[in-house]
Amino acid sequence: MKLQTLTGGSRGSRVDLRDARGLVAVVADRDPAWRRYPHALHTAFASAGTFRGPGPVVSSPDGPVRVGTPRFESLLGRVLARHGMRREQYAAVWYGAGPAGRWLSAAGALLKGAGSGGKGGRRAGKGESGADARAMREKAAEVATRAAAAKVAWIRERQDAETRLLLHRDRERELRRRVAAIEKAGDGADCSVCGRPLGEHAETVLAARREEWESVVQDGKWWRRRRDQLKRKPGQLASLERESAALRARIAGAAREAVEEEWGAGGGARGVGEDRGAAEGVAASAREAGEEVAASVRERVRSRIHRKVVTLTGGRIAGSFPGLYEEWIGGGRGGGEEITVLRIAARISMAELAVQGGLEMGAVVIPTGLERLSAEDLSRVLPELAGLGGRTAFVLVKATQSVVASAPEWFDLLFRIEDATGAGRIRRQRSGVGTVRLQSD
Amino acid sequence: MKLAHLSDLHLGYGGTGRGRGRATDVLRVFETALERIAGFEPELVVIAGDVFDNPDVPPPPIAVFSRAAARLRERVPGVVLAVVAGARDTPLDPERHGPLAVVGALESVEVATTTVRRLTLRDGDASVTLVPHPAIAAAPPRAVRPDPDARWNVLVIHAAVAPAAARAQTPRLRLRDWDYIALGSNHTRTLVADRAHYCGSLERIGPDPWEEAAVDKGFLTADLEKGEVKFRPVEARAAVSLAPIEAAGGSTATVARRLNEALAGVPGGIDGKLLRLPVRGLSVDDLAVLDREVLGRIRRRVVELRVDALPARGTGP
Repeated sequence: MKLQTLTGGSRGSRVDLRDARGLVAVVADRDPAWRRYPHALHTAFASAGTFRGPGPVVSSPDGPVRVGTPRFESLLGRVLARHGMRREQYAAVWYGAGPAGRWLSAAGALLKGAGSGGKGGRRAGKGESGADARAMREKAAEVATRAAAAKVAWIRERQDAETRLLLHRDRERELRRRVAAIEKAGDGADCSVCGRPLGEHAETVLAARREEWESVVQDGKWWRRRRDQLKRKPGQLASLERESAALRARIAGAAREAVEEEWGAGGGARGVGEDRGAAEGVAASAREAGEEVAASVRERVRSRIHRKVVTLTGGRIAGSFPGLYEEWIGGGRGGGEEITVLRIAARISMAELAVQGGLEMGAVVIPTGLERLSAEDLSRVLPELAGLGGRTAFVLVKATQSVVASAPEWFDLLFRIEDATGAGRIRRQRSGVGTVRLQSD
Repeated sequence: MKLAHLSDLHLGYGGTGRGRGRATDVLRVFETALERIAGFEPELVVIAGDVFDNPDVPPPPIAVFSRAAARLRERVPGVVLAVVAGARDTPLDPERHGPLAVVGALESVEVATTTVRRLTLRDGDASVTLVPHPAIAAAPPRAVRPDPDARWNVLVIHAAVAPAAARAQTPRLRLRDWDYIALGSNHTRTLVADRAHYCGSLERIGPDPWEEAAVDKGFLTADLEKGEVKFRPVEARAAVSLAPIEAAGGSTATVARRLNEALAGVPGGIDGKLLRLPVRGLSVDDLAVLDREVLGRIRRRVVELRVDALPARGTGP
């Protein structure tokens, strides 16, 4: 399924990728000419077997196959069945089709397919003996208790911080009013305790109230930070909840398998009412566990993308990552530097999962974004992409001249679109550092 | 016949980045290197490519190169600076001239930018063959042979050395043909074979400067008559790579405490250094808190901070 040729629609030139490897770039300083290529790939793929015309071509054991033809669909169908993926998830991994939610669902499918998600849970359930199952239930109960205790402690701390913050705000307002009143009335200001004029003590009282106000403001800032910090679930609690969810999933999986063994895989009833009731209970429990597993997979995908973002940015945006990620999966389409690096990190993470899971891909196509990165991030992104290119058929990116010129050693092959407005004449050019052999004889 | 060998200067590096002082680092260390080379009084100084960080560098790095070359010429009359273009010096568009075309116009600076070029020194006694990146990366690559009439043959080339089992079309160089092979493109000093050397970059640069945290940076000098090659260090920016801070089972405050303890143990402190900080097992949200509360302060003290978020032990990659 290696991508062999890419065609830019009826007007674009053909990009011959038969000997492509490593990191390959289509170099164009203006987008319109380049856009035809990923657009043509998407049109052919999305036609689901009805595509007509000169589309992209991939390799197969039986020779070249055009994307979008029935032969391609048959090839793709086998790959999807083998990896338990949907075609739109495959398109997300291959060329970044669809919104962020689809990318995450594809990453989740790959993560599970890699044997570290639900399958692993079921495998663990299958071999469980009675003693193991009891030990697992005891462990699950213990972890659930610890998670509940940690949750109570977190909520209590959060409420405590909130209360203290409110108290400090009230006190700050009161002191501010008091300082303003003394400043305005001077010696004639009333004492807040006895109600008599402060007279010669006004200056001393004013200084004391100001000092107290400053101290309350400082303490209030601390409590505000503490409140903000406690808004997020502590790592230890999240970890306990994940562990608890995984254990419950294993227990539910084991129970489901026990019922299947008893009832047969199709659920054929033996007509015993209480058994049917028990099975329904187990099914509900399995559904609940399934949701927890899905949440756990989502969290693991998020962690993977996060680690990649930290690698690509040197940790520069670790502080803003949670908000940025929410914005991205919520459909935020900002073309800024940070969202761009997040999108690239997600694509690399998905491709790495695909490599781990042995998913056959016709190269990884990254249609846009490199030119939006800072020089610093770009210097980390290109080695990552080149490394990925060494583990897949190749990685195809769109790059501007300045992106390639900033680090030509990471690219293996360039296709320079020389006429961005017209037919898109393409010049093929090798890149990377030249090599020599040293002969000692 | 005495020569000095430099490569991968990357003048202009960090010019647009956020890392404070990195642009100045590469310029300063280059000027220092040329001053020390003047003390060695070589007849030839070779630079094996990647003189500039990219073909569109702004004027200041070109000016620094020109000034340092002029000072070297004043101190060592007759010295020749022979430069080959690396991948970074070469514009993508072959019709454009890169920054080496400018420095090649300077007195006593000889440059090869696109094709193999031969210089003759000492009235034909010494021959210097310059092989720039485009000549060796071209398909098919140009053949490179020594000057049979010269007593000393020096090869300056910007290329990677392929393993012996490489493809047949990879050009071969016979080691016995050359008295000294000055290689460029590898940032780490490496003795490839007898008389074939990478001198490495002068600074710790690139996507992972911590790879060379424990390695001295500098240049090589060679006295061909005596058969001596010496490494001469220069003071590059110090890089510190900490052991992973374990976060599993600890709160953000615990991690911050462990981090402070680790930083307190760095000899000479962390100020003004390149710092790599791996943290293992910290959740996404806890790392965000740590970044806001602690890492921001560390970032202000170092020249470059790289945080690595490692997965908790036993959870896989």
